[in-house]
Amino acid sequence: MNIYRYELRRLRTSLLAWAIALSLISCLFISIYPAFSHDITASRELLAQFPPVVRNALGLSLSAFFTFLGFYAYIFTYVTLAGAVQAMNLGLGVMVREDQSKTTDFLLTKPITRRRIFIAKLAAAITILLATFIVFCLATALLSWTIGATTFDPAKFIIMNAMLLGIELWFLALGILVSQLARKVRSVIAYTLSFVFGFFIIGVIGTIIGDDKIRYIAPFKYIDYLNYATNGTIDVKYIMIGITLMLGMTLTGYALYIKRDKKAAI
Amino acid sequence: MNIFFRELKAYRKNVITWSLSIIAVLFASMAKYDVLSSDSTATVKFLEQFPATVQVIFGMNGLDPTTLSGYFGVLFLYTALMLAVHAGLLGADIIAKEEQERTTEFLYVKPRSRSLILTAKLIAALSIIIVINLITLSTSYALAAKYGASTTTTRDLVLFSIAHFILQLLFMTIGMAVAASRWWKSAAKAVALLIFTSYLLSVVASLQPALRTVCSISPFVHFEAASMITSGSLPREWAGVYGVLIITATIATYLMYRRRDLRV
Repeated sequence: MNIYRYELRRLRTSLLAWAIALSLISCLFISIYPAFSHDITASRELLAQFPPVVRNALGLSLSAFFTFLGFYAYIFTYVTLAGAVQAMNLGLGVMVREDQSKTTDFLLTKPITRRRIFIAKLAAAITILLATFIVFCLATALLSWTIGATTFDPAKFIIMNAMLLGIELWFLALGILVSQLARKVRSVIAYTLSFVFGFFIIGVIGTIIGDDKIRYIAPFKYIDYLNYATNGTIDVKYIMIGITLMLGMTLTGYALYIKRDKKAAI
Repeated sequence: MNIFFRELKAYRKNVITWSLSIIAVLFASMAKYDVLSSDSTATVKFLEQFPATVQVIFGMNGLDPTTLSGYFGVLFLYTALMLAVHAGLLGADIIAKEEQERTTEFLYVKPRSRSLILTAKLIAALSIIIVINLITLSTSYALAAKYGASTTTTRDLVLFSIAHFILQLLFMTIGMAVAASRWWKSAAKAVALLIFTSYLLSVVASLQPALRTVCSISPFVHFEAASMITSGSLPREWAGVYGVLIITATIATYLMYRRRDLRV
């Protein structure tokens, strides 16, 4: 319990910073919506002038974006990008804290098993993610409601937001795994940024070339937000892959943490 | 000279990993180039009449991905992002690592002035980003040549490469300046924040052209593949602005680093 509380105290400022940052990013994007919905009206009029064949082909894909949730699905990519940075940073940071501050011997000579240390650290990281997530949900819900996007389905909105938490947990697991695989982590943010942007770019390229196989290793593309916003369907296959990978990474990280030779400070 | 070679050796693994990742990304992106259908041109024609935001959401950015230049143009933002991350973190790390690794005393008791050490580090970082840049360029060129690159494509690739280099230099020198200043506890974090914000601002700018002026502090906004391809040149005035910024950051690095306290 002490370790859990200590970690929470250490992460207090970062929690605050990330809660504000995530809310700001999403609010910045949501605030574009009023102008966008104006564009939508213009687009609708344009669409009406097209021949019926084109209208049917285009109209279907266009109408998906013409709702608030469709727009939200589009901007959600960037929100999850930020969330992933936070989560991986957290997972890596919490696990290499002792290595960095040269306090490994201090912690590991305490009469507490490594298993409990790992669990306390993991629990602290998850608590922080949950706390950020709650702030994020309140901020986005409040703003969406304020700008008058009242026609959307609140249940869908909540589930979409929950996907952010899913992606964050995935990157938390990745952070934990990398922290145990890397021989030495000098800069947590350097690893985080490289991995998160790397996966982000893999996802983008998968979309550009339209290859479904890339999707297996593109966590940002496990869930098709737009598809969910319009049809309410989720591709269960990729969700399962995501969850399996997440659990696998956490357990591997755990196994390594228990067994690994630790370098003493001096 | 020793410091220079020492740094090159220290970053060998880093350079290899990054080069391979960039090569892998470029190869993966080109995997489907030849089968990329051009039947979407009719749709594109219709979409061109729509407002900017709607176009952007549909992935239209003034680039035609069925041509080689356009295809690399689509990739440009992402390669630029990778190179910027690499250069920024490198700049911050090459200065900050002595203090993180507790090797400050070891290095600074050597009969070398701080300016000399800094110069060696600067040249080492510069060589590394040039290597990464050339690897990106040559891989792109090799891939383009496979699909029959014309002289315009070659010109565009060189243009992208120069734009990449300006961005790399900018983020590298800023990283070094931040690490030299000690205003931030972690220079890498500050650089990461800067790059991330710049990228998000470029997304906002493309979504909402009205906000472009606000977002123009982000360098990603100015180096746009589409306008570089159509004009066949770099955005000169902005290249100038960034040139000044790069020089300022370098001078600031020297001034601050020469006379600051070092943590041992």
